[in-house]
Amino acid sequence: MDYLDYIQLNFFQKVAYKVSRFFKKIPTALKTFFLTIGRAIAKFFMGIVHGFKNFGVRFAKGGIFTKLSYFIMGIGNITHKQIGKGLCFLAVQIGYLYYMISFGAAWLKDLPTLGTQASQEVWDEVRQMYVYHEGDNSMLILLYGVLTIIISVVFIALYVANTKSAYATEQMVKEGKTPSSFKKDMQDLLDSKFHITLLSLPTLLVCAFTVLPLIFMILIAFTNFDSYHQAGLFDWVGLENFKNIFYQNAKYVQTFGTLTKWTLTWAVCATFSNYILGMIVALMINKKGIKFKSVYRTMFVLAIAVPQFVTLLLMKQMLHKEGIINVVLMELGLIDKGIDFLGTALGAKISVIVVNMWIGIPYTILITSGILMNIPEELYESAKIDGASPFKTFTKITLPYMLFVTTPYLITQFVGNINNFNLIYLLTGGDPKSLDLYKAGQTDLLVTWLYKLTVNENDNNLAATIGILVFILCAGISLITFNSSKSAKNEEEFS
Amino acid sequence: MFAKTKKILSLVLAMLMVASVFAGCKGEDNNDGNNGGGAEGSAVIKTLDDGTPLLNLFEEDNVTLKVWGPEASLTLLEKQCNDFAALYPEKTIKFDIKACSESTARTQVLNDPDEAADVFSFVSDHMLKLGAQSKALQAVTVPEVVESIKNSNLSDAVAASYCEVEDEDGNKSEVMYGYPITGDNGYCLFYDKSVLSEDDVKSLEGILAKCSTNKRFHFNFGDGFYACSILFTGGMTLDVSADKKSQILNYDMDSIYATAKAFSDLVNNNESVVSGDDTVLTSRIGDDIAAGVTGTWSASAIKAKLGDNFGVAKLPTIKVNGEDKQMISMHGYKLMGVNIKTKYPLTSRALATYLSGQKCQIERAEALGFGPSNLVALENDVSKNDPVLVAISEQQQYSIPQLIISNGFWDPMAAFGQYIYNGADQSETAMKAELDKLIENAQL
Repeated sequence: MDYLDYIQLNFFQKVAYKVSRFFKKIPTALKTFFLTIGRAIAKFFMGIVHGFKNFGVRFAKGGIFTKLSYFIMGIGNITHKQIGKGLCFLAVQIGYLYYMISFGAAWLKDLPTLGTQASQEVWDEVRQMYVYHEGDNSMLILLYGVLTIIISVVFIALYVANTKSAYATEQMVKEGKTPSSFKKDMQDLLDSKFHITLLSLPTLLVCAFTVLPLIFMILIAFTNFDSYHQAGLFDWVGLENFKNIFYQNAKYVQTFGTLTKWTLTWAVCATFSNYILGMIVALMINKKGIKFKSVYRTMFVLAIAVPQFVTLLLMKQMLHKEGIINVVLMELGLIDKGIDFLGTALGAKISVIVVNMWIGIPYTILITSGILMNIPEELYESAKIDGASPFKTFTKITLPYMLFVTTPYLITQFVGNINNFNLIYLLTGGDPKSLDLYKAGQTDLLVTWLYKLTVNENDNNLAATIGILVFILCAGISLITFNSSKSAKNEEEFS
Repeated sequence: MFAKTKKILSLVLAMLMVASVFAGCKGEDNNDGNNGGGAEGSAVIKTLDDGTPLLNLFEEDNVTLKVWGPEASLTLLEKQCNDFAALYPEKTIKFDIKACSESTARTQVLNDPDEAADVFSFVSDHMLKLGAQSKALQAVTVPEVVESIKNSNLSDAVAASYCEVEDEDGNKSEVMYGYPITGDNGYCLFYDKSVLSEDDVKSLEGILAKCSTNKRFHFNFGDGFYACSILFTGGMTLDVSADKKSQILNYDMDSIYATAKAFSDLVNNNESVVSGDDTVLTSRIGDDIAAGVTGTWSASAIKAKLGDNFGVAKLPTIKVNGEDKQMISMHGYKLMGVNIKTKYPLTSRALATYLSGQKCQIERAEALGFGPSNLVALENDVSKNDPVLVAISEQQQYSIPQLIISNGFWDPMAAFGQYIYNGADQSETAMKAELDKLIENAQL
């Protein structure tokens, strides 16, 4: 169907056409998706195979010193006039061996079992007490085990670099060239390779303080580190936690299902209510002929000046059955008995969404009014001349323009709302409680449930599992929506 | 030239970033407890005047103990700790005293046992988790101390300090893990004498007859500690399963249903009942609240609000099927525990023994109004003349001891309480369905 046919359709036909086109596109999209992933995986493995092949080829073709440097790092460089570089490689090898012998190997050895020696208490007759001897600590084994693996990976990379370098210098000497001196290499690090100097340490620390804890946390999801295994020892359980959440444990399944549904409902409602209402308010303020624009804008923005948690705790008091809102409504004669806004499931859910609007709309006003002022006036003028209604101008000019600019903002808002811990925790604390849910209330999001499981119940494994699932949810939604948004597809179109 | 400056600058910034990462690290303390040493002598040096054994610290010296207690008690706790240190003039004992409420101590200790206090107080229902499941407590092993605790405290408080543990061969034994310090962790009725008379407060019906929307009756339905009394009044009792992981509830469905129904009718046919946490009661009693249910921890705030109109009594009765039933509460104890990972096990256990003794319990009753678990301290004038402690101990006869409570018990109770207070459908089928779910969840 070409464009001319399309614009002749009526509204419902257009919608039907778009929907059918969406579904028709799914198989192709899926095919492309899996093909891309397949290619990436294949490329990755080909890379590894290639690497191994080269690794072997270098050994076969290289001279005696290159061969030697497969066992003692740096020999190839030292014998080919690169003494400084060679010594560095040697130092790396010695350092790694020392680390492994003195520290790493022991942790690595325990990693598959996560420790077997329980803590012991030995009776001391004189002191009339059990002397406590600490046993294996699974948490430390896991942490240091992962650390050792990361260090080993870095070492292997350096080791391969060493063989490459040995082979390369050998070739250079054979060709009669002089390999670059250590001084030259060092100077390069301050010049053409300055990025390496600058980023190596931060990268190292990001690994130690971000990547390592992350891997550690992900691995906890595959253990039984729960409230019954706090005494030091826990064990690998494979996919048990995931099975429990998805089908094995009826209570978990029900809680996870209910909370996921509510989390998504909440995220959609909270994001779009703020976005649309905020935009409408901004439009109204921006309208020609409105006086004291900055006064209105300031008034709304004042809400931001109050710290969020103060607002939320006050709101909680106001929404109480005897709170100020009920008192006012009763005084006005609108109701004759107090409404417990946060006491019933539906009431609490509506309340959190409404309170969130109060908090979120000022931000949207701030962001959108800037963009609104940027839309070229000519567009509106020509629309007016063509006789477009205000609604038409909004849907055809304002909204597409806004969406183009703010889709990334909407996505971050959406993901932020999925993880909106503050609002739920401070306003309702997850209440009202429910007998159908495990350690969670009716308004608990997945994150607040996760919090309760770790802090109150010490069920770290379950919490880690939920954490992973929340991450997959957020990452999936962000990637899909962002990649299919206009702002990602044709950046140049923006004008 | 300029490019070079830029490079150096960015290098410096990168280093700064690196340095800031280490800012949080601190040097390692290096004061291991001396495990060597061969100081001989018996574990008990002498018995103090109040009958508490004074323990031998053997080789431990230059000790800094971390001690956790509830916020309100910190000043007294510090004084008592210093009194304790004065008993060992030849040793240097210092204290690092921090606030940690008894109800959160368990979580804090389990989250990081190495950094947690050496000696801390906790509520008796956490014994199961701390003692048997997580093995986070040092056992009370000196025979003289065990005897002294057994002989001088309320029998339920002693029972609360024991925990059944299983060794590697599957042999079960009862081991004492806690040092009882208070016996007042229960609740009773506080009321405004200008609104309610002593006769009124005998029954819920009497109270509610005098209450109105300007003079309300407060009960915290949203907290399992209070809400469970609905089921206890219906005759429910508690047990724990053999593997110590789940609760067993003994109950008769008709009876608990009838009681729950009676509560539901009272609450839902009466505008004057209000639910909310303790602060709702303490801030509004005397204004638009005439009576409420809470414990000793709120007593001083309520006294300050009500002044001469301060009244306190055991919990009222409730009419179930035309018969007056006494409301049955949960009654717990507070215990001191010694962290098993403490560097100074000998000093820690000596301190815990001292703090749980008769003298310290009386001091706490005098200064803070905490009801003792020690029998002699209970006979003391302070305890006898404090109307709150009298009401609490009167209510204690109608209570379920808070001994071994599994982790899953409280939330379902609170959820059921909220259902009674707020639930849309209070019909017989709906309520019985809720009760079924409650029983199932609480036994998880």
